[in-house]
Amino acid sequence: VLWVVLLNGCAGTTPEPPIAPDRARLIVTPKAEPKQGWRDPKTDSAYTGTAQIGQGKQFETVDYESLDEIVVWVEPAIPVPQELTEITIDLARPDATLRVAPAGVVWFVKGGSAYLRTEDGRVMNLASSSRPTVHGYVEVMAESNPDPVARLYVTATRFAQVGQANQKMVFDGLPPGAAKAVAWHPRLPGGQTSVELEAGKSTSATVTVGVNSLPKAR
Amino acid sequence: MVLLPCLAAAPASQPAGVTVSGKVSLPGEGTMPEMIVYLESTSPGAQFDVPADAEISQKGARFAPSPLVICVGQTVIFKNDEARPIEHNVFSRSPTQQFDLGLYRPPEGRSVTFTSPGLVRLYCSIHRYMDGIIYVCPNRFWANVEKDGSYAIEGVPPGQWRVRTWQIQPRYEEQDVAVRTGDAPVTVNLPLTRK
Repeated sequence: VLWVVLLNGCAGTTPEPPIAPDRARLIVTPKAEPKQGWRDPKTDSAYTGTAQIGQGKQFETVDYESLDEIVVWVEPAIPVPQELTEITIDLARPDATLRVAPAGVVWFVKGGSAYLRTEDGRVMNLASSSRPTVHGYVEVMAESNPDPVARLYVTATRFAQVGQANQKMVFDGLPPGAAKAVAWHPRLPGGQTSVELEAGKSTSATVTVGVNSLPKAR
Repeated sequence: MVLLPCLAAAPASQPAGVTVSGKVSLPGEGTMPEMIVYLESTSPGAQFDVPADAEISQKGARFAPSPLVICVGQTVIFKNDEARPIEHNVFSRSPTQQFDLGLYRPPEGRSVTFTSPGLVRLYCSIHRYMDGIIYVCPNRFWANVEKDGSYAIEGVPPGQWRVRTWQIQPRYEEQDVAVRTGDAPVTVNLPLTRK
């Protein structure tokens, strides 16, 4: 217990790296919000006696406390040039972990031919080296594999990360001024928030994903 | 075959008209994707009957049938038919139509009338593995593509159309061919490609 307390204490006092005087830092905490008024199956008597709740079971619930695969990106009002980076997709090593890819970066495909498909159903072949003009959620597929060999979220900005609910994401090197933090999730509606960033300073913000923002229908 | 259940949403009887049929072909070896062929009218002011309401079950935290193919103007009843008093929350964040049906328990059903064509992904905000698909066609003129690639859309009235495809798991570019129907059957073959 003492070690845990000490470790937590140390973690809490770790000094943040310095911020460049002409740049700004934004710390975004994504939140995942369950439907207002829902009953947790863990305590709902409707599930009493069924073995079908819990991890991997038929009635497994969405874990809002640590919801993963939340993509967060920051859109500064002043455009920032993309960095000349690249991503590599190795067909021999399928990896379904969701990654972010800033638009315009070079995609290298190793180990065979592949194609991509977007969330809205566009399909296109991928050369061994290309700069696909796509945005949003993309699956990279190989003919021989019914499951995606890679999953990417293509953002218009290089300030993008994938994380889970309630875990802070730090974005450094942002231009001071107005900016927008946006969140996306594979199944829950995303959210966004506006912030004003100051040079040499750190700003905090939260963005929420969840169903409560959707139009109600009956 | 996954598509078979969605035939339940097709109209029980077709009015007189011609058949638009043909064959979907692949660029190489491989199995035919699970897909439909549908018609989009380009005749000005064309209006068509809308089939009866469709229903989607939620029993066992599963949407069934899924995928379900319907058409614009059609209503889907999302019935909570769980054996236990388990609540569900059906929602869609798809650009085609966004909605949140709220929390409800059996035997209640809540409905949505779909007003735009396109793909609608369904989820439950409570249950992690509960997801489904509705594809909203512009009208009731659509057909499943068989494993050999053949399809036939019956009872098509005279007019101008675009013959289009939709794949559940897209592997090729969707096809879009203009045709005109009159008194005689029309054949439209659709070679799938990917650039």
